[in-house]
Amino acid sequence: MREMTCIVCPIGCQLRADPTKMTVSGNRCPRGRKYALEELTSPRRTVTSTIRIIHYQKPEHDAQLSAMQSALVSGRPMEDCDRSAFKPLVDFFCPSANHIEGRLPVKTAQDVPKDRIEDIMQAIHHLVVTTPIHMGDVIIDNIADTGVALIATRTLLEL
Amino acid sequence: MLFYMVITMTKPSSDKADVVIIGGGVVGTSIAYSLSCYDLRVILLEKDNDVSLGATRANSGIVHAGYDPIPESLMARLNVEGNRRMSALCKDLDVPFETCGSLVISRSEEEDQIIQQLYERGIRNGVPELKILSADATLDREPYLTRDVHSSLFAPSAGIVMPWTLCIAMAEVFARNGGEIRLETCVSGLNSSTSGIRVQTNRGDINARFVVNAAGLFSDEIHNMADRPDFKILPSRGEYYLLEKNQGKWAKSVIFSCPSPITKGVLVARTAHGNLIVGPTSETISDKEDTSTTAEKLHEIREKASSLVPCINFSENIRNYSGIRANSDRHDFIIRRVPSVPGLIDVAGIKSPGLAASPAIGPYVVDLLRREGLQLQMNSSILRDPNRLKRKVVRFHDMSPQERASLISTDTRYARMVCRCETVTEGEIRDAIHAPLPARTIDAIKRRTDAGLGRCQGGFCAPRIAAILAEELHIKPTDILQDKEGSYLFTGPTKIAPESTCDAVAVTKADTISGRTDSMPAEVKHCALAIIGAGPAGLAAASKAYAEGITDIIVFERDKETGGILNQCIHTGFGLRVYNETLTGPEYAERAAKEIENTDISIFTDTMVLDIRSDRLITAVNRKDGLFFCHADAIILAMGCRERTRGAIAIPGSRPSGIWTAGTAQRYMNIEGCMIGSQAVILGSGDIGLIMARRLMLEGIHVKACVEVMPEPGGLSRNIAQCLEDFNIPLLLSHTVTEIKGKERLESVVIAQVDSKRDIIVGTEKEITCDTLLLSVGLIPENELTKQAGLTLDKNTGGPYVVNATTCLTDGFFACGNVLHVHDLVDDVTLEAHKAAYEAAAFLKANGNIHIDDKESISGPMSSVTHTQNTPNSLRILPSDAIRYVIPQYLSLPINNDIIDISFRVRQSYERAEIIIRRSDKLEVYRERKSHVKPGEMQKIHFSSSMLMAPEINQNVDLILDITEGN
Repeated sequence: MREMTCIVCPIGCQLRADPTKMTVSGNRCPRGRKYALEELTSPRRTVTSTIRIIHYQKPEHDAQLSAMQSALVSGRPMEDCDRSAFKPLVDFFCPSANHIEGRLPVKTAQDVPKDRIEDIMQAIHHLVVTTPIHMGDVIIDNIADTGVALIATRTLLEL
Repeated sequence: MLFYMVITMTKPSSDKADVVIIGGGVVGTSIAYSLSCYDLRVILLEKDNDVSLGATRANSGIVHAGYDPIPESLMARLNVEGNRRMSALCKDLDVPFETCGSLVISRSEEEDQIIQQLYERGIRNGVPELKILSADATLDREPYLTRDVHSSLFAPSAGIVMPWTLCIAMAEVFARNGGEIRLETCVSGLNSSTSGIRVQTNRGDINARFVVNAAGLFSDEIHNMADRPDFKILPSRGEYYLLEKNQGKWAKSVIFSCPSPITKGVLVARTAHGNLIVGPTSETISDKEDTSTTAEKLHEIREKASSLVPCINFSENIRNYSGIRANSDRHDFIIRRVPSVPGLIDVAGIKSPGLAASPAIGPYVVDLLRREGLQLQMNSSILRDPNRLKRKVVRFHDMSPQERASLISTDTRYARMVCRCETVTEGEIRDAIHAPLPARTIDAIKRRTDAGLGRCQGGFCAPRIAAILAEELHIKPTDILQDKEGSYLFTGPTKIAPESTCDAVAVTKADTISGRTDSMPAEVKHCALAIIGAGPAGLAAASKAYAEGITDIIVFERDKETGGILNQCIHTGFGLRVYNETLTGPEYAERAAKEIENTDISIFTDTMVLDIRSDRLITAVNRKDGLFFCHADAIILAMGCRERTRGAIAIPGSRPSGIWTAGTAQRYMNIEGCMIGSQAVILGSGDIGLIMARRLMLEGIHVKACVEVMPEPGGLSRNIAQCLEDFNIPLLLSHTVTEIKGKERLESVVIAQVDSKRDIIVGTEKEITCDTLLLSVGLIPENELTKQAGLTLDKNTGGPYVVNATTCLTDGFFACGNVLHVHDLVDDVTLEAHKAAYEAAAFLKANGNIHIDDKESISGPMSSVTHTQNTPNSLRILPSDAIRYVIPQYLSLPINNDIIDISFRVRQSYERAEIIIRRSDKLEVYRERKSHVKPGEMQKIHFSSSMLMAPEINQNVDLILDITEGN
């Protein structure tokens, strides 16, 4: 008999699953049974993380920027102050005039085998996308050969 | 002026100086400031990366009146003289200072005698207006004092000042007038010669005619470099509590307990910022830089201070710290020429009242130098413009609305709020970085602008300040320091892969989702409904109110985008109830935002609400509209909550970088893309802590343990399973962190087991090496605006009192989400926000302020709604002792809702519980059995209102919610 906490919903039922008879008790809904049986045979999880995203600044923005830079406000040059306080910190590792780097939240479109999570995290390290990205966009349709897609979980039109 | 400063700061330093001052504390900078007006080459050397980092930054901030020093001593003379000069000096330098007076409290006849002696000493020292007050007169002045007051010594000339602000201000004026400050410069030798003294440093030697040794704790070591040992510094550590501003009211003056030969007293005082400072202890230590705090000493402070001012609430603590006094083996200050070393002046052993004496020490030392042969010729540019010795800084916090508006019209950077607790703007942060003595670290910014000094201790502003520092100083995030060298914040970016192996991905586009459209009307004067906060509560309230026919809505959001904290909650588990599927936080936020996308609801992002009045006049500020006012017919408060910080749980130990609240760490990892360390311990098993345990493991930071003081976990069971158990992270229940170690960056934590009373079990201590400690120790509803609006808060929820579901006791105010009480699930927040929208819409319709589909008529000031309290006609719901809190606290009469929803939290867990609602006339109206009831999980019950009705109910009857062990 294996005891486990159901992770399907916030209630967190205490499940008891019998690996030989493949029976489940303690679940308040059918999803709990499905979860427990999967835990016994091949446990699966949804992986969420972030990937690198780069926003190339548009030429018209650059023009606007240099106009702002040449304007003097209270005796000192006005910089790109509309953005800097809100730029992702990671952008300052390699500051560049023509792009901003940030992070895009992503998830696996379905649950993936638990023992593949590490491979997925490794694969995620190598991904870079550019704006615009919309929620639900498929970043990669088969992440780390799991057969599961990695999708964007938010819209980022710019950074 | 800026141009001039840059030149003097950057030109190659010559190796000669008229005067070298060693030490950038308040003493060294006071001397430097006093020399600024002369034509001299003066170099100030400081071993750390900023001035004021020694005793100056951690002391009581008291400007003593001068009754304490022994008469005729130098200390007595400089104390009284310094006190006399302080006010004008602070005015010139724009440093917060207040002459609030001080009281030494006597509680016995023996203490009356000590006070009499102090009085006589004070008179001899020339302390002005000193008098002894009777018990009644003392309590008249300080009504919150203990009742056993006998008498007190009142010194009206005592005051409070921000010590580091004073020190920095003097350093800035010195630098602006051509003085040179060399930071991170350590003196390694002093060689006397005929022409002067050769000062050896890690950054080259300097030939100086005069050297002033103002090295504080290290002044004996500096002295010994040039001369045979004479005096010795005996470091004495003092620990402090710094409490929230709401505690500042307990002390009008500086309150000292009476010193006795056996125990040194404590003081309770308001700081120049309005916080309450309590301390210090006194303990001789060997390590001159060990500014740790200890459990015993913090306990001692609580005991002593509570006996003096009983109503101090130490759970309102925001920070503990300790400072080290540079006491010497002499009774008096040591300010004198060193006879055997021509040109060397010792300014040492400047113990308390050194801060009070500092305005007099500078001129005194200048006079000493003059007598030693230093030529003092007034600088011609200062003769032309004496204002060069003054300073003025922008402090948005202290400005009137008119001043704020005019400041913003000159530079809109003053319209973007960076620190919400202390109301510090982006402009002020940038000013500090470009000041004559530039701020280069997060703490240096704090010392200059107060950003991060407030109740959230930098949780909100630090990422923004870090970005500004990185941009202005052209440094990488890994080079951003919290404080001294070595106190780094980040170890690198997340998702580091060699550039060559990065895969630029061709993204498959999802079908049809358009971006959010935010509208910003240029002028706003009035709206039907204002919603403060565009997190899940604010967004849901806006869409539901719109659906209810309220179309004239403005949502105020301080961040650049809507969604609130959900944007950083990139994990799944949201939305099962509201959207019937499992979503990540950003997905939930985007869905909520989409619901108002095609409406004409105005969303003001990057906009900070500065004030709300009880008549619903909102003052807000943003870069586009500047400072503006908006009168709302109804307001829904949806500001969310903030995290409890280290101060709230008063963990003793040192104060290195690497200690984060879990939510701040989440922002750094998930949005800012910065790695926060390599090995972590998590304190507290709240959901955010558990979620972050998994995040750290996934992203490559090893989590060594999750430590929980309670016997059971605080977060949801499923998070224990999927965040800890999945990653084999040990969960140590009934354990806590007892000490923090590490000088600049966290090096280890000590954990120990606790007993049922949460007292530490001696002998169970274990040290865990780690560079990162995450705190997940609770959330506090963010109700500063609510308080400004005059609403009273329920101590149990931390939010405003509400009737029915979300209606506040002041007309036209509604509250929902975490500002009302902290929720476990965002779905519950959304549903509560819907109720707030219904209730607000009903209020607007009932008061005739809204005519559906006729927007034109909604203009002009509110007239029909007056400021009333909703309580008289309602029924109270009271929690029993077993219940931590209940929402709502009132039901309005007559009850017309069919179903009554009640949310509550319990104090302990129950395997099987009976939830009972009784009337105060003992009649039971509701009973429900429930299993697995835990303090960490919000409980909800629903019942038909008919159950309350018979026999008839009225406002004289209360409802009592209780829970007992079931069977």
